[in-house]
Amino acid sequence: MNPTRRCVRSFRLLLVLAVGAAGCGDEITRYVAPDASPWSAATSNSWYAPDGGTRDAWFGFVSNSLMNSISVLDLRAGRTIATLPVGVVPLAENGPHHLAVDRAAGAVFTPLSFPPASIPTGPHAAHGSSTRPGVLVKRALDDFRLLGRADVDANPGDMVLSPDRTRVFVSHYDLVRAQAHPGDREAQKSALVIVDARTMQRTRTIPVCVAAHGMVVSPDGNTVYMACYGDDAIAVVSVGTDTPTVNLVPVRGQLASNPTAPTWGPYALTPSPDGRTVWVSCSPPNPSAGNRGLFIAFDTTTNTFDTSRATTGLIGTPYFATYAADGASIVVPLQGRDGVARVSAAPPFRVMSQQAFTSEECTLPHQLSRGPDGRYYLVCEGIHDRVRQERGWVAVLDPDSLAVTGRFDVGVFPDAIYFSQGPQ
Amino acid sequence: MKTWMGAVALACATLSCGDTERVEPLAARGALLASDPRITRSQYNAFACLTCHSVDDPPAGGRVYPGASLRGAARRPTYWSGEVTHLREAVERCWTGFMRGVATDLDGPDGQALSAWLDSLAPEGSTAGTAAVTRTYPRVVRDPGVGDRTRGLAVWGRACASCHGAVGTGAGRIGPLTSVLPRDTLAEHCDDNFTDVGYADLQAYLRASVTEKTRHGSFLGYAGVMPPFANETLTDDEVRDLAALFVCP
Repeated sequence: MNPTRRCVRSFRLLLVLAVGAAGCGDEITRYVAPDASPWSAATSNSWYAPDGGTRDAWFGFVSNSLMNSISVLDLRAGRTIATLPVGVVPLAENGPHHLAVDRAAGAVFTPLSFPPASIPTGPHAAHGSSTRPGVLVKRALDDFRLLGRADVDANPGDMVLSPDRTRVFVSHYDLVRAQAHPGDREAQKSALVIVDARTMQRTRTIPVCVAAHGMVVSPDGNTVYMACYGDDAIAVVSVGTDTPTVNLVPVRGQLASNPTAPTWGPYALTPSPDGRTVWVSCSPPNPSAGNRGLFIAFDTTTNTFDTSRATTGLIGTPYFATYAADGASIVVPLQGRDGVARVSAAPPFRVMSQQAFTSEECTLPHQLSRGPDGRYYLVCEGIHDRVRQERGWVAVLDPDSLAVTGRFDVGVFPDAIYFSQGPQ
Repeated sequence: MKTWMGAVALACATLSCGDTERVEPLAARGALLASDPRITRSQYNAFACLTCHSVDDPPAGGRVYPGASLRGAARRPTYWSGEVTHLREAVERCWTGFMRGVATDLDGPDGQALSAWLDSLAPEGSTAGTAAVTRTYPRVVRDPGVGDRTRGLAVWGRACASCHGAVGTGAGRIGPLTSVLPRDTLAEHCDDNFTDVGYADLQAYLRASVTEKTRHGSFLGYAGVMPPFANETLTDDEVRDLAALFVCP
């Protein structure tokens, strides 16, 4: 008996004894896979054209918080070249809120905040979505395909990457939580969520303070500074060990007595290049002559506020600022009376200049960043209320005069800009 | 001896024993899976790909599908009305959102077969169906007004019956968890406090709810796994007539 016939006999025996119903003589279908890898047909949907000589060109990425998208600005060409979707929940307002790019990893990160619809979308939408958990998404830099996602808490606020790009820090501007637990300070606290940037696993959740928003990470990556809107404080969070610590430092002597109506409302943070100062922009819910628009330095070497470097004399409410190229001054966007101020970075502290914008120049300045070309890029929210939702824009400012010299149109309610070169 | 025979039997199991082997492209297996709701391995899923999508454009027999035709879909620049730039993510939305599947299964053998099938519907050199498909979902829905029940029954036959079965009895619906309409909707809504959500009368509230479910499906605050029907698939008039089938006693 040749080996093949033995095999056949044994096989038949096996079939008869073990399989029973299945017998020889059946038709077996063998499927041949194509050479292409699965889901490959659509991978060429890239916004990026590397053969256009732009491999080293710089781009601005802008999160459109009421348009489920990120706009891509070609800084050299002076125009918006793409508007790319970032949401994960169909039809809904996903609310991409701030962003960061890791070019080496080929990734864009943005937290989705799922803001409640300004107008109820139907009888059942009255249930609301403001308490829906947020999602941190990681998308490919070249075609924005989804690379990963991590659940975070409701109302993610700011997000920053650690200096070594291994961790993503997400704050939660969770006013709903604060309002839901009157008198219970612990329950009112929002968390700092830390996500592994590679695996997108949520690795740590640290309750910090009420309605934290702006964040700065120390150059060594071991400390996170958070603007605690509801507490009238800065949180100094140690994240370099297995046992994180949280130290709340009040802006003016004491924590807010009512976290849902703070006096100062710290909202945005701006780091100095050397990491020794974090500038705190306050946005009080009930501004008056005494607390309007505090802009104050926080000394990270002593973890104290430096009252010699503070002002309430700005013409509007300060937001996310940026340092001048020479490090001597800080340029601060202002809302209320929309404009921009330049203040000195070192003693003697002073407001060096302030200027208002027309509504055409910039409506609701939100974040100012110094671009790789030395110019300032100012994110202008534009009009977004219950009646009108119009596209915002990014105004280009001359670094010396701060005059508006250009403009990129983006999506509805842009709130942050991040610069990066194109995909590698 | 028994051990030896067993080993041989196992070793030979993949060899022929008089069986005939038929070689087919993986896309053929994908085509089978596209009609099979068991593909996602969820005991609660009743949807297959071809429940909500046709491969023809326009669909045969006047049937209304909530999803776009899959002909050419693999080579479209965007999906979900521009919300998605990549085919896998577009499929994942259906897979996890409607079909109760686990996303990582799309990277397994069945997902590969499905991908191959979609590729086969978009052969190189053909542009049929490869343009982005626009679907408009009105964000805010309100009472559409009083429609025509007879016309509503016709809309039902083209758009709803394939999932919900016969009006009133649900006979032929795709799964035991699928609502029997209008019975289940009336049971859930006719005692609601409609004034809380801004409606002056119950019937207007009910019509608005039916419209909301039709236009938003399981999204924007409404539960379930039903896909939404866009303006391009059902007109406002058709939705109004459909809502006429729902009347509180």
